Amino acid sequence: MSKSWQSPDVPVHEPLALGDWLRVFVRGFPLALLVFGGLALLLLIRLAERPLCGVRRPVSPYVTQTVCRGAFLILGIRWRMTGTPMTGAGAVVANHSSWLDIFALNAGKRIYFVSKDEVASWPGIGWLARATGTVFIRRDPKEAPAQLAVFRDRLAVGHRLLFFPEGTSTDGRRVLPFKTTLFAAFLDPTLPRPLHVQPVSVIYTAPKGEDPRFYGWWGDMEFGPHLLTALAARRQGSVTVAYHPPLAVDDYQDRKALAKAAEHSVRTGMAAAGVIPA
Amino acid sequence: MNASGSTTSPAFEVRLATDPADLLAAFRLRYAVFVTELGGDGPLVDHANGLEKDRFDSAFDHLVLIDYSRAEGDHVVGVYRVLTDTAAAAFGQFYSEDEYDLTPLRASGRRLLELGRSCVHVDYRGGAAMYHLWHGLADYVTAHGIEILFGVASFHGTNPAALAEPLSLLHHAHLAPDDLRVRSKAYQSMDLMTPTRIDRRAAMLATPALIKAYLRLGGFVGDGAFIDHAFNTTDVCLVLDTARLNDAQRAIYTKARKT
Repeated sequence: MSKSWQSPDVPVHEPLALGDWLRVFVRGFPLALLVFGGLALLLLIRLAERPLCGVRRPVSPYVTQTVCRGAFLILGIRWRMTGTPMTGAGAVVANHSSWLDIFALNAGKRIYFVSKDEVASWPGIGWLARATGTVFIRRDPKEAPAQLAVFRDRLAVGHRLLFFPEGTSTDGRRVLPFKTTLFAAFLDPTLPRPLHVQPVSVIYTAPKGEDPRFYGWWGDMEFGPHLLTALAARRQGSVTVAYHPPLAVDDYQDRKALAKAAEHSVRTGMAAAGVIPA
Repeated sequence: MNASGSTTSPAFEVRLATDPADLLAAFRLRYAVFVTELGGDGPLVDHANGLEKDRFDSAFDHLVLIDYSRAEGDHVVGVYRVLTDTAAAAFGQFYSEDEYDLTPLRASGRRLLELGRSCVHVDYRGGAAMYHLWHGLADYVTAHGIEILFGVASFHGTNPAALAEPLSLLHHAHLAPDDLRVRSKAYQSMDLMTPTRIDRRAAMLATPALIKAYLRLGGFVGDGAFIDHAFNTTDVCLVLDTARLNDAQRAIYTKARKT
C-alpha cells in the first residue's frame, strides 16, 4: 500500500482497560457470529442462486444488508441514511475513510464493491468480499477490456457497482481529488443505458470527547487494534450515509467532467455536515 | 445507565437497583432461579415471600436488567451483584472470603471487583439479556477503574466425583498463575483426572455457560473447589485480570507480524 494517504500523526489509543475488554467481548462475539453466520447462510443460498440466476443474485444481497445493519446495532454505532439510493444500474462512488465504509454502504442499499484484486486473497475480509459478489480489478491497462466486459455483464443485470475514486482511505476529515480512471469505463458507449453515477458522502461522527478521526482507518494502521478500539468504545458515535442525486453519464463530455461533478457532490455533503469547510 | 445507547430495544434498561422495588424484584428473581430452580437455601432466604437474600446484600451494588413491558414488582429479568474493594473493606470482607483465601488478590494492590448471584429469568435466557447485563457491568467496571474481576461461580450439585471431568479440565487448562491463585478454604481438589483421560468436549458441555464465558474472555480459576452444601453447589473461583488480557493481545500482534 505504498500509495496510501498518510497523516502527520495518528490518534493514540490508551491500552484497553478491563471495562473496555468486557465491551470487546460483549460486542465481538455476537458480531463474529453475525458476520460469519451470515457468510455461511449466504454461501448456502448461493448454492441454489448461482445455478438458477448466475450473476443476478436476487436473494443473497438481502443477507449482506441485514448483516451490515445488525453489525451497527451490535457495535452501538448509530447508522443513518439520507437521500434516496438509486434503483437502476450504475455506479455508486463514495469517499473512503474506514473498513466500516463497507458495512455502512451495504447497510443502505444492495451494492457490489469494485476492489483491488489483492483484497480477494486477504484472510477473512477476502472471503467476505468474494462471497458478496465483489468485482476484483487489476490496475493494469492491459486488463481494461476484460474489466469493461465484467462491468457490462453486471450493469446489464441491474447491479450498482461501488468504488472509492480517491484510491485510498483517509482520516475521514477530507476528500481527496477523485481519480478519473474508473469513470472512463462507465462512459463506454457499449454499456447499457440509461446509466447513472450516484455520489455518496460517508460521514462519521466520533463518540463524544474522542478524536474526530476516531473511526478513520488509513495509512499503515493495523486492522486488529482499530477493530478493538471500535469494539471497546464506552460511548459510540454515528455514521451518516448521504445519497446525492444521481448523475446521468450521458450529460458529461468526458471522464474528467464526470469525476469532477461526483467529487463536488461528495464534498458538498461533507461540508453540509461540517466535516470539511464549505 | 443505558445498556448500549439508542440501539437497544427501548423496553430494556440496565441500571443499579435504585429503590426498594428494584431490590425486591431482584430478590424475587434470585429466589426463582437459585431456590426454586436450583434447590439452594440460606439463613436469610424468605420462603414466605419468595425472596433470596443474604447478609452481604446491603454491601453489594445490584445491577438489574429491567424489562419495562412487565408488571412492576416483576420487572427485573436479570441480576448481577457487584462489590468493590472499598465497599468490601467497609463491610469487612468479600463474599468469596467465606470460601476462598484471597490473599494474592488483596496483596496486588489493584482495584478489585467481586461479582456474584448472576442470573437471568428463564424466559430471557439465550437471548440478548446477558448482552445487556454485561454491557452494564462493563460500564460499572469503567466507572470504578476496576483492574481485576473475580467471584465464585457454581456447578449444580455437591458431588465432586460427578464433576470430575469439568473440574479437572478447569484445573489443568485454566489454573491461575501464582500471583492470582486464590485457594479454597475447604480445599476440594480439582485435579481429579489426568489431562490425557479428560474428554474435553464432555467437560465443556458439563460446564455452565457463565464459567465458559469467563474462560473465553481469558479468565483463570483458583486452586481447588469449595462445596457449598447450603446452596447445593460446587463452587470455583474465577479471576479475570486486565494486565493479562493486554499481554495476550500484544502477543497476538507480535506473532502476527513475524509470520
